Amino acid sequence: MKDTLKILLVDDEKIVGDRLKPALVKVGYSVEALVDPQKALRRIAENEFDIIVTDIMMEEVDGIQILEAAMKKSHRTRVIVITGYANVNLAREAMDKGAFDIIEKPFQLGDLRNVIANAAKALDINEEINHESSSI
Amino acid sequence: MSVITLTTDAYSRGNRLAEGIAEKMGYRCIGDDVVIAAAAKAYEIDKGKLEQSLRASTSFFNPLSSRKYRLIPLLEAVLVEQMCQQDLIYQGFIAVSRIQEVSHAIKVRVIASAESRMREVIQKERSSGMVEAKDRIFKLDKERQRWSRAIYGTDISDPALYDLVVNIGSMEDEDVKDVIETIVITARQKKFEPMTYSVNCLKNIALSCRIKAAFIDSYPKMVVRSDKGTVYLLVPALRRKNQKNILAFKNKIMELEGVEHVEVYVKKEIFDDIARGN
Amino acid sequence: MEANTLTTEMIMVMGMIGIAVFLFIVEWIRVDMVAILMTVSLPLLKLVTPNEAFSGFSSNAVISIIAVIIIGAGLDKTGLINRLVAPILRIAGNSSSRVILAMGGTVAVISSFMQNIGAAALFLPAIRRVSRAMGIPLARMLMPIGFCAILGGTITLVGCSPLILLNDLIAPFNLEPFQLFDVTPIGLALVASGIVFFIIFGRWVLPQGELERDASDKSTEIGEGGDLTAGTAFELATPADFTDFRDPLTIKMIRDTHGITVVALAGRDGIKHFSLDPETVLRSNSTLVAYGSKNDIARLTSEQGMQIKDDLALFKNEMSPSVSGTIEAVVAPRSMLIGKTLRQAHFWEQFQVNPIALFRSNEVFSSGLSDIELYSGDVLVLHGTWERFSILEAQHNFIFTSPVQEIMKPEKALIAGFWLTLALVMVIGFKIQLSVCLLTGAFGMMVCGVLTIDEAYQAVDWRTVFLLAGLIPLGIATEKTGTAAWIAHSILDIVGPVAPVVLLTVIAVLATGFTLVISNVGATVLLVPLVLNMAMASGTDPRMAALVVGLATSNSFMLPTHQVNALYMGPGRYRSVDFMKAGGIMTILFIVVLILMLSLVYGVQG
Repeated sequence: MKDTLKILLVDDEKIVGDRLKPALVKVGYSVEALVDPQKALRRIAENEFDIIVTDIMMEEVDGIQILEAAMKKSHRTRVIVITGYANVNLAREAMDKGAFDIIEKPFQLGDLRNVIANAAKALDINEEINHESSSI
Repeated sequence: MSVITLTTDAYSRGNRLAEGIAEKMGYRCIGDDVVIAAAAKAYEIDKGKLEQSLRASTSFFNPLSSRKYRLIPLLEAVLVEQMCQQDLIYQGFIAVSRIQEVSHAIKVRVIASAESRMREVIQKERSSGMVEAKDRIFKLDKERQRWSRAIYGTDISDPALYDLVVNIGSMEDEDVKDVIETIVITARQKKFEPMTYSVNCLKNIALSCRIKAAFIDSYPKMVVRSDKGTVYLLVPALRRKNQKNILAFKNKIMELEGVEHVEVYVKKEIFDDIARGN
Repeated sequence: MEANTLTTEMIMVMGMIGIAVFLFIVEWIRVDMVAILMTVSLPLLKLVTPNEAFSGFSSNAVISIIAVIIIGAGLDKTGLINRLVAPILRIAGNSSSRVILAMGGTVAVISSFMQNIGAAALFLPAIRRVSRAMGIPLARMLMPIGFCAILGGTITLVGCSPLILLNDLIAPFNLEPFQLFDVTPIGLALVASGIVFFIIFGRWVLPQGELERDASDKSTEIGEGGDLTAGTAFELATPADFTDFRDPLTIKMIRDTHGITVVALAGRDGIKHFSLDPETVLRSNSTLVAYGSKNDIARLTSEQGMQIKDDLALFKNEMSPSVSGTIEAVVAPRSMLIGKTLRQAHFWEQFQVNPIALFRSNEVFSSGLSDIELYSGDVLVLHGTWERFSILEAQHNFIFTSPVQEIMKPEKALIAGFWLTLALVMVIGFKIQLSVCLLTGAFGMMVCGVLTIDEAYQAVDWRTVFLLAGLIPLGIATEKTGTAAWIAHSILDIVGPVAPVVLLTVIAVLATGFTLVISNVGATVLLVPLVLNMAMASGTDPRMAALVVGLATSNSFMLPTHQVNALYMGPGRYRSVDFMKAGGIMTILFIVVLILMLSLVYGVQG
């Protein structure tokens, strides 16, 4: 009944997309993996993704910008920030700007799976609320 | 889960504040007495001894009197464990500098002017005059500083350790209400919400504290870092050559709950690099 | 002819016999349990008195068996047996026939006063050494020597359980007991025939077998279907980002998916672990040693993103042949591992060596080892330090087919030899009861420290003791109620008068058949009362009939049900067919030689 979840992966480290994409596709999600954050910005402008998983430290465009762009496009999108340089200030800033969750790199597949599942659940609940309010 | 730590000096209405915040936010409120009771039960140690460890050691020249500080990890372990399990506000000094990196732990310091505090002393103790009150406050503050220096290597009143510093002014009821309001509004900000990264941070700290607590007598100088079940230990006392000892030690640690993998190091430089994630 | 009435008691006894036979065959409960069942139910059914029911435990047979086992264990501890190997080999020279003659003969002599399985187990390492040294395939040596171990049990009256039982079983008939060496001429003839048979016909009845390559030769690769070594050792490394963004990889998964065994692991802190629980997760910045074929290793490293090192580096010392290596270990007959899986036995924690492969008959298992139930005779290829293997050897769970440790207590060898000789002298020279002499010998060994009494207790196979003690009352019941007589007379009535030779041959065939399904002791206990009656009724010497039973119940060569066959099956890579071929011919040969010798030595008329 639900449509497949559309996920965008943005990380300039190739290994991330190489390992995560096939594993997530196996679970049943529709996944796009990009290494160029500029391209990612363009895709976000074109498309509404359900979930975006993005790194912070990237050249030219950093993850916070991605986060802001995603929030501007749609409040529905759940943005998950992954970063190898997590610290308390970065974490708070990301939360402030609307991130759904923050995970520290490197992580194991299972960790991300759980977070995405949570995000998916949150999306579902939101959908229900939206549907209810629209039918009133 | 959500954590607020409230650090107040003596006679600054700390209790009232903590209770008020807890009520408004629906959190559990705990103080040092709860932590001591829990640690006494969990580690089968006399409560009195634990209480002693929270007081500065009496003599500067007597190294034995600071032996009691080795019990602090027991209190930290218990407290951080509580922080992992429920929303709470903790009023006290324990573990505050350990949870600096946890983004959803809001560290609040409440300060008060000397006069207000002296008035508080006179009102409470009934036996003192202004001079005695001043002495009393001075002594307690000094002790607290000595204690925090000995345990955490910092002055606990350093504002850099806190996310929010509030002055409670003249300590009237109105003031108390205002301060509670301020703290609650701050705490409700999005940036202080728990997230996977910060929850893991706290869990790692909890694990490290638990491990340290388990070995306070055998390896008091051990430094522990944890990362999601992987434990890094710096044990300078352990001799590298003795593989059998190290293996036995590793196995003992593996038995503790939540430990999946152990790495033991004896050289500080390597340990620092690795524990920092390089 | 005597009146032959069938009483209810007889029917009950026959019923009990039927139950015992049935349970022996289907093996729903263990054989010693069946024996105890008999011991308990017979007095309840009032078929024997309680005293008679438990008389087995104090019987000469049981005491003798216990003493023989202890003496055997004592000899084992002194390494006396191992010392015999070198001189034998010198005599044997270079021909395989002479080797079989020499080793077969020696094991037969040893098994004439030791339990067959004990002698067979003792010789296994030596056979292995000779096979390798002389280039003779193991399959060509094990079965002949195994059969000699069984045949050797017929040389003296203490050589095997049925013979030990004999005197107790014929005593109620007031027949003269047998002496220790009464069977020796026959036994020697049987052994000789076995050896000659294999020397002449060995090349046709035995499987080809392969020459195993030296296990310490690291350049061998895994062969097709059951080579003895399990690949080469490689040192691998995992990069820093090995565990990032993927699910954990365990040692078990590596074995199951790639057929590769990891035997050593060191994490980033450089501390080395050698006995690895299969659930251990492989982490980043780790170094490991893995056994496998070059192709499999290459596949593993490319699929999982690991690096192969050119040579052993971090583990160079620990993997050096003088410190550790692979060894083949046979699951011993009374190992505590039998019936359990490695996981159930907490193998890694307890034994601290790594299993690489399991050989059973002709099958090789290299994955899923933790969940395979082990049987006696299974061959496990283990990797570990020699130090560890020495510790394991002392625990009697495994028999190592290459020597792990040299002689244990050489100074006690003389003392052990002395007590054994004394026991024999007491029997032969002073005609003292066998059980007393043997127990004296055993006691002497313990007093002089050849083995401690606890080691003696451990060595005694209580299963055999209970089996013997438990079935004796069944024999008593058979005789006491007249069941044996009834059956005997009934058969003779049908068949009519027979010549002694014919009768004895028939008895031999019966005993052979019974021993294959209900164990030699069971067959002896049931048949002796029966054949005694038959013999007496038909004019044949009853002692001869009993002797035939005692000897023919050792005629179990056709199936790997006999403990010795089961033990040698694994290392020799035999299939059941091999036993049926060689064993079948041996069986017939046995009966022929037996009857022949009886006629010659005892003048049994045809």
